[in-house]
Amino acid sequence: MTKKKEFINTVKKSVESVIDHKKFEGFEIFEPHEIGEKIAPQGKSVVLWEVAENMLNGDQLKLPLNMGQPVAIIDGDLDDLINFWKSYPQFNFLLARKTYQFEKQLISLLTHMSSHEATEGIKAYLKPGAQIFSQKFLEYGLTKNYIEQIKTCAEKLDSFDQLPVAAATVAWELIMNAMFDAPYDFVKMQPKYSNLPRTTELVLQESEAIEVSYGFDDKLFVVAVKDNFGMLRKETMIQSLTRASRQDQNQIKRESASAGVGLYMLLNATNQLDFYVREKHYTQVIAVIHRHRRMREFEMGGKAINYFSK
Amino acid sequence: MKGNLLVDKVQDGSSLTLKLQGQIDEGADYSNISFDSITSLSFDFEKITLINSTGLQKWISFLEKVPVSIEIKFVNCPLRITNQINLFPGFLANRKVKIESFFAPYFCPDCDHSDDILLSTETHFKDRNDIRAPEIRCKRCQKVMEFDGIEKKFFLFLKR
Repeated sequence: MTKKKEFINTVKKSVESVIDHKKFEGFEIFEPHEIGEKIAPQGKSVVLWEVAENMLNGDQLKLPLNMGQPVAIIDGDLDDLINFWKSYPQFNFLLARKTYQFEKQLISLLTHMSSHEATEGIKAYLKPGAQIFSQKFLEYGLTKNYIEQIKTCAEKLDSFDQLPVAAATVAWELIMNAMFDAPYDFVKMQPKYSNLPRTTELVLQESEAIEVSYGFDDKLFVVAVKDNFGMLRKETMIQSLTRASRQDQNQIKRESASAGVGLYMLLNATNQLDFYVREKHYTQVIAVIHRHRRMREFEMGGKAINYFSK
Repeated sequence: MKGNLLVDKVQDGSSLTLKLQGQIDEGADYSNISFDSITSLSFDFEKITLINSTGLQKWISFLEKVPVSIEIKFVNCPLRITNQINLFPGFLANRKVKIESFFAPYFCPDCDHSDDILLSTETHFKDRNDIRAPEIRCKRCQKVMEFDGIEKKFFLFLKR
């Protein structure tokens, strides 16, 4: 059996057990040379998957970027994913597989795509009956205790030792972003608080309240933060990640209020980051950490970015 | 906003050790640290619990201001610090920092015990061209533990 066929069989077997076939037509898997060299980076074995509205026949191959919802699986690590995304920003769904341990992220994504309703929120990620906690905040200072609560919750779980630090780091970076960077003045057409030093005892207006949620089941620990603005642009994320992953003297912003590396920190502390953006309405970021027993298993797990926009 | 970082100073002649405790965040205050007549400066990170992106930014600004005549050492670095050095080389602020000791994750496949083991750069990593996790025995069952990470990725900071 060819490597590709083996790959396809492994994933199809996993995916078909969870997706709703009444709502989901299915998917096809293509290798770069099958869909045109101009989308395949030189020297990389990029496996491009297309989630198509209609099942494709061999003689109906078109450039997948114009059809369905292409998912890019990059044969590399997070930095490879960032480089790919920089070159091909038209993709919204990306997965970096390190050692083939990426199926969970892919299944999660395809399950989401198979549902025609917006299955947002932590509940969609966790098993029925999972414990979920949520709170709204206006004051940045008051979020510190909640972050500590998230850390304490993770400490009680039988998972790799760094899970509590990862969970707290994720919550903290998401909160800072939602409170300082997200609020936008639609009249003046500019961000409201992004230039404020992060030591500012920021108090948001009622309409600017953020919602912080977290929950877990036996497989996942999930943290989510929602703001009411929906101004997170994919291009901004790609720019930020590209700069942060370069690891040169420009990696960390020095003169601005924000260091500009929060997103990169987030991706290193998680296995999956899903962005749900409804422009001028809300952005919800959901961070997923797989509850491995060992740190090494977490390190070897895949990295995924999914950007859902409306 | 009030910081969550405590800095305990221990001076011995011209050597100063700063024991940092708490969170390296936007509120971290290094203004009370004086380098007068100091030739050697050690940072003990063992009790650092968290570090965020703005804390990282502030830390780098502080470290850059340490006079170049002062020798800088990092000791007792937990994983959250070595991880930062790996992700952000700027954590060393372009200084020649000696990382003397750090914690590395190990687990015992026999009794399932996991532990962060304190390693010494001088003792365990003499040959910087051949960096491998040293053999460590489990405190509980004395069997050989496994390094709980990806060596190539984890020990990157030793080459910085």
